[in-house]
Amino acid sequence: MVGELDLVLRYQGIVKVFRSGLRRRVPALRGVSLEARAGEILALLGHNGAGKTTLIKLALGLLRPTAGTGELLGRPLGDREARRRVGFQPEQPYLYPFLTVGETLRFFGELSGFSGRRLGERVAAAVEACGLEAVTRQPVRRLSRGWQQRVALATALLPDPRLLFLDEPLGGLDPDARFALKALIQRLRNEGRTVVLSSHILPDIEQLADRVALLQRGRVIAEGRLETLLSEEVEGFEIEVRGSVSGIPGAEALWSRSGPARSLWWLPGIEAVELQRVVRGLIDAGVQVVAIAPRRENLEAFFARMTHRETDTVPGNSDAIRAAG
Amino acid sequence: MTAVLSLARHTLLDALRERLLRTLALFLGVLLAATRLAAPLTLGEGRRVTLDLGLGLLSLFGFLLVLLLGTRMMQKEIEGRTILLVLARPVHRVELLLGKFLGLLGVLAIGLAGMLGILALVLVTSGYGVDASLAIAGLYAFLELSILSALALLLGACSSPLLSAFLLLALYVAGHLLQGLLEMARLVSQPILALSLKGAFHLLPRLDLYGCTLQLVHGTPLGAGEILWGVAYAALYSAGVLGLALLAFRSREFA
Amino acid sequence: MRRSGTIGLVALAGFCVALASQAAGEFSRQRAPVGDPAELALFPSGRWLNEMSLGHPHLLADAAWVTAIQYYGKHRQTDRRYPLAPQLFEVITQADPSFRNAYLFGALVAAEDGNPKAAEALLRRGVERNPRSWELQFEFGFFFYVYRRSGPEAARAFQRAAALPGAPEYVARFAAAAWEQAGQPDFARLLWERIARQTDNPEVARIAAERLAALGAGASVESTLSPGGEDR
Repeated sequence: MVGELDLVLRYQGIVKVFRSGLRRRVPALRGVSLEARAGEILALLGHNGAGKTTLIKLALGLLRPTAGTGELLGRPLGDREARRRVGFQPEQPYLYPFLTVGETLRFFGELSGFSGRRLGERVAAAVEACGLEAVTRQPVRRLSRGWQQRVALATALLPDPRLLFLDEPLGGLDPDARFALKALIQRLRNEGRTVVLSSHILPDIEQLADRVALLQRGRVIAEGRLETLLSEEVEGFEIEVRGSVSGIPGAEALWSRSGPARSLWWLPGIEAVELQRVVRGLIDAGVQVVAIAPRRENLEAFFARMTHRETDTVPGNSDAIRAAG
Repeated sequence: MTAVLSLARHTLLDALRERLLRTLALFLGVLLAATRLAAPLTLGEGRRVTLDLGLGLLSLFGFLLVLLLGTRMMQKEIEGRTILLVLARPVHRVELLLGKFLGLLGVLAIGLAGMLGILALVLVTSGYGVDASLAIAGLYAFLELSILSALALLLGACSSPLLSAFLLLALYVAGHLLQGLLEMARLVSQPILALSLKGAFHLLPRLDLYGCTLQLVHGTPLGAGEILWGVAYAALYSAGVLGLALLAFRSREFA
Repeated sequence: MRRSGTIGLVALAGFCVALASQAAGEFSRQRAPVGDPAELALFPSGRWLNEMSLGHPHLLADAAWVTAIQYYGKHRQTDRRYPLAPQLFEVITQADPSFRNAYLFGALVAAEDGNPKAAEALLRRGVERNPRSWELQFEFGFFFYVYRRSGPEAARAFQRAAALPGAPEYVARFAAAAWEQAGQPDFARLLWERIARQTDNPEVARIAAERLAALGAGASVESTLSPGGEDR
């Protein structure tokens, strides 16, 4: 049973208004309430400017809330002691170009409060976790963006964090690195740590996230476990066939190969009875049906569905903004 | 404390890698060595002229260091966004400020020591001899520049590098003209104006007190008490200015 | 809590600056003055230049010195006229009131230019600003002796120089000789007696004895005169 002790991050009615010039006020967050628990991956989704990064920076003390409260590892948001066990990888690898990878990790390790042998151990662990053994002596400026991302991730892992904030960590990584990072994120979750992840790459989020919070214009418009958020309704079927097929009525070809001929077809909104007729027709034509799979709503579809709706009625938001004045 | 020292070391290394600074140091170092050529033109006042030119170049070098580095220090971290990674660590903003300040002092100490070394070499090879008073002149230059460093950080925390540089230059000029303020305060008839001028006199940095070249050239010894008060003033004034810098910096947000 | 932190910081900063102001006062009091500020106030142009030099008046003095030498050298080889010399040396000595050679050389140049008044004025300023410099007082004496041909003035200047710390022995002898030539044997005898008494150099003692003998042994007049000699 999950209780208060498991809560590593909490936002309660958070409002953040940026001031631009003397008069202009830009509301970035309008009364966000959200929690993250130990041993879970919480994904923050939303368009650019929805408030995902603002939420992360509020937790780290880089910004202060205009209204609302929150806790980070049981202490107030931005608390210095809490930050000892928090890792943060920003959306770009903001590193010092003149330092080598090893020097970068040592520097940030010292800032995390480590020294001596413990510092060496933490640096070695971060290097190993991110596969940086071959580049520790290279200046950061000579590394590709993907490698710099890895270095930034390694700095986030230095404090052996209980809570890890990753802002767009998968962008710019090659397939091997993405695979390794996803495996690392899952391993961290399995060790009881919490990962708060912000990303636009929805298929990866769908693979990784335990819970998702969808933000739009500074509000949380949907939040919960994926299986409860995504619609159970079957949208159609995908059929993979072997053999030459020029077309199937009502179906859209997703891909096809030759030598030997194979193809995948999407039949939207088809009823089971009609599906059976299609399959029988294919078999009668000498086409081998390899697989049939139902397609339900995926995260991408959910995102599009939710963000195109009017979402102005989250309780308490207007009050929260009025209180912030 | 580890964070402060780590940041100071990092600041020092960053500055030493700046190409502009190395070029500046080379250029002024060569100029300093060239003062040796001025001696024959001076009709027996070679030591004096060498010292004057050398200490003047030293002072100029130090001021340019503070102007180019100190006013940009914080902005560089902010613009490069590296400040996000630094402040996401368990680092107090005061530790960041102190680390930057100490790092800048480290750069100044190394630069001034190098320049003093060249000046000493010029004096020795010119047959003029060198004594401890040269080191004291270096200390005075360092103390003056430490005050300017604190001011540069305050300005850098509040405004853009260009405006900070301009304001620092203004403070440098004002800091050398303070006697004029005091005398004006004695001459004006309006009490409020006189009070304001006296207030400005006490608030502005007393950089005029650190010019000791005349004493050096004429062999007037500088007392230990004087030196200690000079250190005390620089330390106290810098502490006050850094306090104000922290006040400006602690409320900054990094979106 | 944030507000109390702000108030605390402002108070701390203010306290540090206030303490610093006190320290500056002490620092300033402990600094040995170079030149008499009151004198400088009489020469606004020099003072203005001083202030504009932004803490580097010595550099200004050096630049002016080199200029003065070049100026002298050029005219020495041509028309031997130096009308700008007094102005140049005024700037130099305003910027650095302790620049002894500037007074000496400036006076020489002014005198060579047939301007003994300017020379005397320069040397007088030098002596006033550097009251403990025996060299300047000595040169002042020479000026009176050579250019103004005023024995008593020269003798007084030599005698003042001899009384200053660091003055070598021969300065007193100059004074004594100058008093003799000025027709003041009493003052001369006084000085020779003093020299004979104080010297540990046998040659100097012999010279003093010869001079005393030449002046004629008279009653010592030391007790009738003030120890420092007559005021000028």
